[in-house]
Amino acid sequence: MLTILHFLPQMLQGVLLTMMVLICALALGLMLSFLFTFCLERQVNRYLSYLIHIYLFIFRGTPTLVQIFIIYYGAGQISLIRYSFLWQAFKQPFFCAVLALGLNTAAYTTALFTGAIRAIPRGEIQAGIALGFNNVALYQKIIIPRLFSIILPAYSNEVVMVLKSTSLVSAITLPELTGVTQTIIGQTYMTSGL
Amino acid sequence: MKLKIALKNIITAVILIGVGTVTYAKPLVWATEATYPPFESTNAQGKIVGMDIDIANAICQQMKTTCQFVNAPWDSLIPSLKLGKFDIIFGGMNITPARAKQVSFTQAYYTAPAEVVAAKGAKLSLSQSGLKGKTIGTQKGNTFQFYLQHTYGSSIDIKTYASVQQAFIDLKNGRLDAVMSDQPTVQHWLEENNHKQHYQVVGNPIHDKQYFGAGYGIAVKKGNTVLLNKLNKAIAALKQNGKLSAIINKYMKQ
Amino acid sequence: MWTAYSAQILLGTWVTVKLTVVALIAGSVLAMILAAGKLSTRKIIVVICSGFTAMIRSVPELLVLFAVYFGGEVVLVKLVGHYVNLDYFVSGTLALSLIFAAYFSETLRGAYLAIPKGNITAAHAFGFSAWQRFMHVLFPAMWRYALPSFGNLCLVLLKDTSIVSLIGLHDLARAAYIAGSATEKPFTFYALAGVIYLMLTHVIMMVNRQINHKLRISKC
Repeated sequence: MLTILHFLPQMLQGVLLTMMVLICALALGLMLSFLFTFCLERQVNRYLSYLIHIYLFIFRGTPTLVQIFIIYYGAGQISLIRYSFLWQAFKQPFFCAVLALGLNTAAYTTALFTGAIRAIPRGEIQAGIALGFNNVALYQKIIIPRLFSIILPAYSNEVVMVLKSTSLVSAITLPELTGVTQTIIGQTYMTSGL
Repeated sequence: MKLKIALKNIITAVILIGVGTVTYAKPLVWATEATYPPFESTNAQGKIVGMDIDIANAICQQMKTTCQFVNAPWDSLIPSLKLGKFDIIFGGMNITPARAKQVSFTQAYYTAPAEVVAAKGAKLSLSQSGLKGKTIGTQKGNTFQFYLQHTYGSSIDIKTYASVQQAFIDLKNGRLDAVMSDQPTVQHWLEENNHKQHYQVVGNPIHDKQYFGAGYGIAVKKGNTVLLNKLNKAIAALKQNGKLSAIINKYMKQ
Repeated sequence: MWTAYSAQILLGTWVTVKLTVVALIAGSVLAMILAAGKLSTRKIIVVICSGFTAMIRSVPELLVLFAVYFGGEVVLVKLVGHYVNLDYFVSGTLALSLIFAAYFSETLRGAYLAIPKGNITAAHAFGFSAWQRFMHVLFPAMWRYALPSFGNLCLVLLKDTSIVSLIGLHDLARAAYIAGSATEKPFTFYALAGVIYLMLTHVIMMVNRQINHKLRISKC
């Protein structure tokens, strides 16, 4: 018990880092998924849509751990990243963790958004048009509120998924909760209780 | 009622399958973390090779037993040995007081100091002020990690990796200012791919009895004195007949 | 360099496939037991099964794996009295099966609740035995409801297998990690591993789509 108290501050710091990674990754993921959904739904550019579909396919089809490793260790092998200003960002494990988890959640969230848009009953939008709503009012009064009520349960699931994925970033030297716990086990050789 | 019986059958079957795959080890099981050349590494064929493996094989020959090698993460070795997952753990493992409290070590079969390696021209030296604010990488759960923490404390940033090879990759990538490891590991890396053209050892090799320098030992579970004595006897015999130094000379350039 | 480590990568792929299949089978069986427990009329069984599901679902997969790997043997030693060696594959599949079962049991429970009560009452009225009820009424109806979610969980399971590399099981992710470290070409090997994972998930998705398609036809 005493040893657990002794390591508590370290573990709290780990929790703090976990939360930081989580919030940044979610923010990045939301922003990107808004952007991607907009591009896909409005059909801005055919080739752009292809690219987004390929991105969705890759990030939803491979393990998060592999994505984290590729972004952290793999980036150094690509000279375009290694020998440009980009490296200043990729050098930071925190940046890599947020980028990997953010891109990962953006892929799943985009799928949620596109699904939700299709799930809005057409009648409601038609009713809005019939009532003479302009585009802004249509989005403000009908589409966006509907979108959120459809998405919220699934999105809260996604938040939990990302939170759980943060345990993987200890593999790229970020001392979040799982990483701190492992280090403590390494020092004390005790596994139960932690 | 029948559903209950069916369920019961399924549960029994699952338990039986589970027990069936549980393996009872017959040969001596040696565990190590095999990304640590020249001590041990996994070659392209998936075999574990290296100086420690040759030594372990020689010991097994001496003891007239069959041996089996297992590759496991470094920081899991001691907890798993204590549980009884393996008979022996080894592989560039320094005999330290902290570890000796957890496991029993044989006599040392090899001794090497630690070294810190950095890019040529990097402005750092082995002192509190010389390392201030620097980022140093080392293997997770390794004695170097604790040496760095206790010697330099919070004035340096320590990054830990599952394998020292990843730390070397990050040194090349510029994420680390320096890497700390065993002299043989550092030297092996410097020779490989001509890394010595751009990287060099900082200061002098470090000897510190508290953390390293007491030499590399082979560890068994506390209380397993029968096996410990056998191992010690085998090591002594190999030292006597010159086989041990022959293996070491094959791998280490003095 | 490419060819040197490719055999290892293939071997790792095989381990990943084996892990997925074994965890899928064991996890499905366990999920049925858990679902039956959660639908039980006895309070205590419901509490135990629901508590277990909630616990597994709220903890990171990595932590479940570490708990089984490090903690599993400690518990076994206390239970049996002497040491029992759970090898990596067993701990890995056990952890993955528990995770899969926790999620899939929820699906099964939902599927059971979605069956119109009249169907079950009718089966009772016909004098069906419990086994007949399960085989002829419950199972065919539940299967329909559960299948789409089952396919998704298979995909999640396949991707989750990569975490076993962190306890040292030689799966695809670990093979890529070892090859990448040894050759100092991590991108090459992780990208290769990524492509293989993509192919595997693609196969699961295609099978999934086929079955769903067939179901939709037979429903009409």
